[in-house]
Amino acid sequence: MQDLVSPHQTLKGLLDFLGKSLPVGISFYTFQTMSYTLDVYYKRAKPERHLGQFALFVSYFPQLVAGPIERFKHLNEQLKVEHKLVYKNLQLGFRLMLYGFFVKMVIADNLSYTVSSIFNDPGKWKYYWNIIGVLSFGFQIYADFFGYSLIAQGVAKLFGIELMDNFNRPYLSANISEFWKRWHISLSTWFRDYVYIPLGGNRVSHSKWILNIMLVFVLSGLWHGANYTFLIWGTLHGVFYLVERFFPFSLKFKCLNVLITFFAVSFAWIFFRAENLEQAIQVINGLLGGLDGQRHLDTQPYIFLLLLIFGVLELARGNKRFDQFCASYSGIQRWTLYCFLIFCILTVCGSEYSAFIYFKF
Amino acid sequence: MEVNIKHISFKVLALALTVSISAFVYKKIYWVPELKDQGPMLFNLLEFEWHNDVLYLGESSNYWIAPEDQDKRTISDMINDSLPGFRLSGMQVPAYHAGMFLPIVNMIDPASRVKHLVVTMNLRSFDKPWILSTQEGALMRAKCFYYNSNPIYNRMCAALGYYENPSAESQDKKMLEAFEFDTLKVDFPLQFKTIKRWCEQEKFPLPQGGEDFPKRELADHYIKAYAFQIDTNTNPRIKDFDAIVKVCKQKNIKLYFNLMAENIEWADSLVGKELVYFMKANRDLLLARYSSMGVVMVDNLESVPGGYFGEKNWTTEHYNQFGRLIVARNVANSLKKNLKR
Repeated sequence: MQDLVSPHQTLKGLLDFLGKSLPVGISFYTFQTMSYTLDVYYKRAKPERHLGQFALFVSYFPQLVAGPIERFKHLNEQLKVEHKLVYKNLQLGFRLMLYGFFVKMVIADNLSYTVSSIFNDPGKWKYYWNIIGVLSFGFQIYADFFGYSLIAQGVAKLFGIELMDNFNRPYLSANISEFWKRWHISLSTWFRDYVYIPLGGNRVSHSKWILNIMLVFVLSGLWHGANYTFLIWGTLHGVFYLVERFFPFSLKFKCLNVLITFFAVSFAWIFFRAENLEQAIQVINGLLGGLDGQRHLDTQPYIFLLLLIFGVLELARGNKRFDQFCASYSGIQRWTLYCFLIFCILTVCGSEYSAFIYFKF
Repeated sequence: MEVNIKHISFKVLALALTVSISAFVYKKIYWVPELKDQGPMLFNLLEFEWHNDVLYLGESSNYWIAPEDQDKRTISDMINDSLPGFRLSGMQVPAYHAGMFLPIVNMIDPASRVKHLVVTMNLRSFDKPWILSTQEGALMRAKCFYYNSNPIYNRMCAALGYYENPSAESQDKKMLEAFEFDTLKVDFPLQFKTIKRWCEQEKFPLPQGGEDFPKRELADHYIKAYAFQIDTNTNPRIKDFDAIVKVCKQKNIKLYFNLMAENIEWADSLVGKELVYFMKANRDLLLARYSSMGVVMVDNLESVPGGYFGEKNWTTEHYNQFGRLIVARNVANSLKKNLKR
């Protein structure tokens, strides 16, 4: 009997094995290839007969390791067209890349010290530092992934290729369903089109619909990695989504709804960021003041000023992409902004190298 | 592609101006505070008093003080006190090795008064656990701040990860492979040819049965730290020390390597004569190699008795006040022979 292992151990062993043996970016190009296969199967796209063309679609370098997860039809059609070096494309591409570098190197990398200090040892800090750490992670992961997506879009644009938008200011969402329409759009639409709708979407019985919703969110959690923490993160979002549907509420001021959604998303991020369940529980305990930590974090106050600047820029650009937003200003205004962004990147970017968070998925 | 030269010139000019202003602002405002954390030895160098005659580069062995010590002076302070009429100043950062000292040596102004340089030579810094340490990535990152004279360039190198940053997993894997496969070649019968086999054979039975695990763990650690043979062709530390010698020759600086004392007594009683053999053989190799290059070698390997070592349960070069004094005197004696007014 001693030789038998419990289902928990078996699952843990399997998750450990998968976690250690998977290559970089596999979840991105696997989903991209799956979307091609399914589109061909459902006759939404014609099969690509040219191996080189197909290989180019799968391994198109700007978005190979961390998306956006492009649809075959959208990307392949563009890849088939001959592209010339166009000044306008260079201009737009460099604009996106510049903003992407600013968001990644100045915002995300500066927040990374605060976040890792808190998550590595939540019991050390006063409870409000745990709160700051958790909220900071929400901004860090957004800035990190949004920054990468912008750089990918910018690099592709240099060659005249248009990649889809992956983010639309998600923290301005007034509820969870809106959040998922604005966060990692290429993944959420993938799950919608290839999992949720084939399962029947909302045209099924109530109980099956609930099951479908939970399945989609749990799968989106597991897509991030073979770990219980991602499973809980996905489940939490599913539960939030269902609670919102069954007990709809809306406060008078939209900003309050936005805040509530932001706090709910930030709470779920704890499980996403934590290396294991114990760490997540420790952080939650720390948030509630249960760890008696007494120390203050020696974080640089200018980080919060930079965050404010980022917030202002995000609000100012509205629904426009950064390259289009810039186009609405005069040359002098644009170049003042470019110079300011370059100045920030060179002088106050995070001095600690940190790889893109989504590279590990 | 039609390009308006006037527009492009304006943009290039704006970019160049932005980069120049950024470099100026960074150097004036952020650089020095950042160096305190990120590149501490360069920070020390900026504060260094160039009217000193001797510069002492060290690591934690220089400033480690035992809790019971009455004399709280560092080794470099003790040397300084033994050199009346001359001034010596020390710079130290924990875990630094020759690879980290090299850029600092490069930065010594040949026109300065400093004409004598003492560099700490730690025997363990030649071994696999140190070379393949998981701290190496952090050290290489700190080294970015010493790359060249343009601070903003150095900072961008650190921020963009433009340095060797091996993963902890790969370092551990290499180290385990070295323990398992690297064979020890000696001209006397040695029962265990690899570190792994050697560690496996060590036994510390207790009179009441079972094994004294803390002792065994310490013995394993001693074997891993000292049972190695320096390959002068491949050991990265040799390359670093060689480069330091070359730079000092170019700058006309008299160079001293201070080979730190190791706990030979413990190594002998815990593991045995074979281990001491490797320690001495490596010492002899280093003495011969660098003496022939004109470096003054201060051989402290066996100079500090076991009782003067501050930490008994690990391999360190941390000595109490008496140990530090012995090392300091030996260095001071070597310096006295060469220092002239």
